[in-house]
Amino acid sequence: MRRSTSARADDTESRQDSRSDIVSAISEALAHPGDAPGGLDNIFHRSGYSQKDIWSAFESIDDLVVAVAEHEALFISQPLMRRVRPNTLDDVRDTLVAFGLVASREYSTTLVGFVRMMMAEAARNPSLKKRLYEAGSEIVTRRLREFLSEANERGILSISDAQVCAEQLMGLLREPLYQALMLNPVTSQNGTTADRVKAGVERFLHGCASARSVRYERAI
Amino acid sequence: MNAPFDTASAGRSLLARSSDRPLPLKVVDDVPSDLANCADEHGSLVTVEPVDWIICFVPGLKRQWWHRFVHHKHKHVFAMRPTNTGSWLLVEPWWTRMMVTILPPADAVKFLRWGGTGDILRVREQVPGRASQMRGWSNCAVITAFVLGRPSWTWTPHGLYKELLREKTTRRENVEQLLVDQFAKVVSQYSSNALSVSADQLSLPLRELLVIIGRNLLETMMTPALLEVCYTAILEADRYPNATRVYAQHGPKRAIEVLTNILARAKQAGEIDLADCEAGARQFLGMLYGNIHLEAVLQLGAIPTLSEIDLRARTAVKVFLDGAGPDETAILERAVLRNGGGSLPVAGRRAWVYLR
Repeated sequence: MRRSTSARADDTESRQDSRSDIVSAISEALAHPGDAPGGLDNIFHRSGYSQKDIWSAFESIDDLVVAVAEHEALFISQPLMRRVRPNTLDDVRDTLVAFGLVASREYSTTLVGFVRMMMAEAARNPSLKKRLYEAGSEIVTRRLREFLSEANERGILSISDAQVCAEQLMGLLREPLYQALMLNPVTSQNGTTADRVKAGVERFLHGCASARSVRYERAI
Repeated sequence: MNAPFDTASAGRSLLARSSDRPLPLKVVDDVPSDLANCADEHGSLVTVEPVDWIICFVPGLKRQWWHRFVHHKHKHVFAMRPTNTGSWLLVEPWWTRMMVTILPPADAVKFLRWGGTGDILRVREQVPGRASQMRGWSNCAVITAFVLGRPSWTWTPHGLYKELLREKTTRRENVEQLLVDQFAKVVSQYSSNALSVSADQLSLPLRELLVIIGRNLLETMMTPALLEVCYTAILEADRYPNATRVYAQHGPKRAIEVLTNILARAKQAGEIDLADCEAGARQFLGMLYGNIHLEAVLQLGAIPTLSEIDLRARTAVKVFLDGAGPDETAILERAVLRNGGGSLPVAGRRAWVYLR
């Protein structure tokens, strides 16, 4: 007997819900690795879902990890999407600080595990690495570039290459990731994460050259 | 200490050969006389000092029928040597061929980890050696003894292991220490080159000095050998945390130290307004990294060209020193135009005050 259209729609919706729940649980497991090794099996185990649940919602490991990358990209770039057209320098600053806080938190938690998993899986499947990067980091950089371009066109910022500037700001915010990946134990720094993000955004917006040195630059 | 591919020691050997003893003038048919005459006392065209090999005695990766007849942890043996660029030379006797290849560090770690499941010895090779090609059946133990120039009569990896262990100069090694030594050597060598600043350069205006350092750093970070080491340091951080720590100490931390000092001098000279120079150094390094470093470490896309590196270094310095915000002239012009040439609106005045 053929199932009704509404029954099929319900199935699709429930599958979408379960995919979304699994992606959130995996992101959470990546954010809190504990002492366990970063292999996929351990991550699945810590997510609380059985392999059977996972494979009924996703066709393959690649499908699952790409969904996690997309989920992260969407989450990090939400502040940029909430205010696509900034009107003032304060708008730009507030948006970049909000974006920076989310990015910085994710770079020191979920994305640490994610990058390690990406590198480990890349040995098995090199093309996956590129797909993950495109679905994650590239999307975030693109949204940031669009935001900076808009601010530039409105005369709020003065940048010659929005892509390079977006990459520079991403690099500045990515420091916790490098710290977590390489500097173990993480080096203690002055101030809270929020202070550091605000200071970073201020540096990005205004630089640190003193009035004296700027006058000197102009004079020469 | 190991000295593989040590050009300095090879150079010393060459000098010693050319100055210490007269070259015999023997001419061999079909060989150019200059080549024939430069052979050393052992008949070799180049004289290379004996070096250390890392000899790995390992259990089998796959079960074989003959495994029951040999030591449980020493069923196979192969030799490795680190190079000055982070890669490793591998000499592994197979049943059907001799595998001689250069491995990037991440792949070398796989072999070293295999070695770690058995025993790893550091052994100095003998030159010219006392082994013989007449030795007969060439299994992995016999070939490895031959590589080392040892006149061994053992047929098994475990037999060779016991023989080598009896030598006074043989030392046991562990994987993490090998990686620590190699990372320290390779990364510090690259860092020193990238971060060395001459007295003349130190007297340049900050902007120019930062462009030079930024360009050198980016160029060095994009060196394939260093990217391979960085990739391995990240990949193996859980398994070999000390090796990763050494990478960070000699690489990024060293760069942050040097940049912090430069910024502190500039702050003292009134060139910059910076409350925390170390935080500033981290921010500048992050801007230099941008996306290109992560992309290069993950081996995504092409490594940037020198002109791209130069452009990125200049842009990073500009944003770091001047910011991406508009300069006050532009703000003033816009505000005055909007206001029909009258006095500035409050927002414009605030921006003016804030910017300067």
